[in-house]
Amino acid sequence: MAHGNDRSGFYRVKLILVGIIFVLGVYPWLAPPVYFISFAFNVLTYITLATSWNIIGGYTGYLSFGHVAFFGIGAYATAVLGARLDLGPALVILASLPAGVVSALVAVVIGYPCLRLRGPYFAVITLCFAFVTELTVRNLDFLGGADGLWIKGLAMPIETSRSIFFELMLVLTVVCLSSAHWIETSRFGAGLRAIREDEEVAQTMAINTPKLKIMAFAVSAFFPGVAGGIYACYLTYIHPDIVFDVNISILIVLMALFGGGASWVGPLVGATLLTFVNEGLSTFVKAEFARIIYGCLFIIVIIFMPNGIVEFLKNLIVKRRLRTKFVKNKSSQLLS
Amino acid sequence: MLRIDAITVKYQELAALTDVSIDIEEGKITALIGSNGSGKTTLLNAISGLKQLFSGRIYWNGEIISGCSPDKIAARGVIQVPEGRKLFPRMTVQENLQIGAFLPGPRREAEKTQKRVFELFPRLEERRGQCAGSLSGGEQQMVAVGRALMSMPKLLMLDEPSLGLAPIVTYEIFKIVKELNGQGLTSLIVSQEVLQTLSISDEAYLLEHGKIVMRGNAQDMLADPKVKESYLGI
Repeated sequence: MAHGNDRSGFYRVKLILVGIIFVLGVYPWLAPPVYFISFAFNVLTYITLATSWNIIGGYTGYLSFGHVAFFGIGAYATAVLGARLDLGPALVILASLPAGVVSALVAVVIGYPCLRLRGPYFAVITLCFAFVTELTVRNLDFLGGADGLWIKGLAMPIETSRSIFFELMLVLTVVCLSSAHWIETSRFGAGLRAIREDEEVAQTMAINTPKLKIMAFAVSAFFPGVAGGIYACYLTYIHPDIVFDVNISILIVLMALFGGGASWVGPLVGATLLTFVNEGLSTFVKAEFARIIYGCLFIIVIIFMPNGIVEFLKNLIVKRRLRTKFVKNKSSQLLS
Repeated sequence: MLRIDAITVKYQELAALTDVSIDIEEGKITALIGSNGSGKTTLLNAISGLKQLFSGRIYWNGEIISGCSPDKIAARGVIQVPEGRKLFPRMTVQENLQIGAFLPGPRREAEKTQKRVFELFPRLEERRGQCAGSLSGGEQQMVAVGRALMSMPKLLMLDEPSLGLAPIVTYEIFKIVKELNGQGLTSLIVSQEVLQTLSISDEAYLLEHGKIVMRGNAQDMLADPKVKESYLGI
C-alpha cells in the first residue's frame, strides 16, 4: 500500500519535472524581452555550475574553490578549437563538447596530486589552481592574452540567437541534473558518500578511494567545461577577467551550500534563489547595500540552516506531519 | 592463511611493534591480547595497509600484501571491524551494510548476505531505515560486524569488539563470532577482554610493549599462571 503510494508520488514528481522542462523549453519562443532570456540563461548556467560542483564538493566532501577554472578552460578550449578548425558559428557550439572533455582531463591531471590533500588544504590548492590557470591564459599570446578572444556569432537577430543558446543551456542543465541524480542513487555515489563520511573506513571497505575521487572530480569538471563553451559562444567574446572570475568560484560554492549539498535538489534551489536575489538586489537596491544584504542572508542561512535550505524545509514538513498525526491520535483517543 | 613475518612498525622514531611474527590458520579463531598501548590496533592497521611497515613482510596465502593500498587488501577478503566501530553515522543501517558490499563480487551476493546478517542480528532488520549514529553502542557494533560480513570476508579482524558495551551484549557478539567460525570463517580478535576472547579462540598471542611475549593454544594460555595474574587478576 505504502509502496504503491510511493510509486505514484514518484511518477507525479517526474510528471511535474517534465512539465517544468517543457514550459522552460517553450518560454523563449513566447517572445519575452531579451533581458529575460539572458537572465534565464544565467540562472541555468549557475544551476549547472552549482550542481556539477556538488558532485565533488557536496557528495564527496572535497570543497573545490577553483571550479571557475574548468568553466574558463571550457570557454577557451571552445574558442581555440573553433578558430583552429575554422568552424562556422553553428559548429563552434559543438566544440563545447570536446571542450568539456578537455576540462575533465585537466581535472584528472590536477586531481591526481591534489585530491590527496583534505579539508582546507584542498580548498586552498584548488583556489591557487584557478589563479594559476588564469595567469597562464592571460600570458599566452595564442590564447589572446590580455586582449581576449573573439568567437564568430550566429548571424541572426539577437532574440533568436539568445533563445538558441538558452535551449542549449537548458539541455545541458537537464543532463547535468540527471547525472547528479543518477550518481546519488548509484554505487558510485554511495562510495563518494562513504568518502565524505570517513575516507579511511571507506578504504578498508575495499573502496578504491583515490580512483573514485578522481572520477568524481572529472565529472564535476566536465559540465562546467561544456557550460563555459556555450557561454563563450553566447558572449562571442571571452576574456580572462570574465571567464576566470574568482567570484564565480565562490558563488557556486555558496549556491550549493545554500541549497544543501546532500542531494541534487540543493544546488538547483540554491542557484535559482540566489541568482534571483542577486539580480533583484542589484536592480532595486544600491550596489553597496545589495552586497550587505546578500552577505547577511548567508550568515542567517549558515546559522539557522547549516544543512541548507532544502533540508531545513524538509525537516519542517516532517515535523508538521508528525504533529498533525500526533494531534489526530490524541483527539481520536479522547473521543473514544 | 595470513603470515606476518617479523614486522616492525614505527611512529616516527618510536617503535610500536618490534619484530612481530604471527601465523593465522584457516578456519581458526586467533586471539591477540595485551594491555592498553601494547600495539594491538597498530598491528591490525598494519595488516589492513593503513599503517606502513618499517621492516618485515605480510603474506596472504603466500602472496606479499604489505605495501598494497588498503582497498586492495580489503578486496582480497581481509576485512577489519575497526575499534570504536567507525560507522557512517549519517547513513542508515541499510546504507552502511550496502557500502560493505561495494565490490562487484560481494555486490552480486548482497541480497543473500544481507538476509544472513539480518538472521544473525534480527535487531538490525527492525532498524534498517534508521541512521546508524542513532543506534545504541551494541547495535552499532552489530552494524559494524554486519557491514564487514557484507564484503564476504575470508579473514574477519575484530578490533576491541567489546569496547564500551554491556557485558551481555559483548557475550552476544562473541557468541556470533564463534557461530560464524563454525560456518568456516577465520577470525582474528584483538581485545583487552582476555577471559571471553581466549575462551572462544583456538590460538592466542600475547603482546606486550610491541613484542610477542607468548604464543600458544588459547586454552593453555587461559590456564597460564602469568596470564592469570597479570590479565585476569586471579
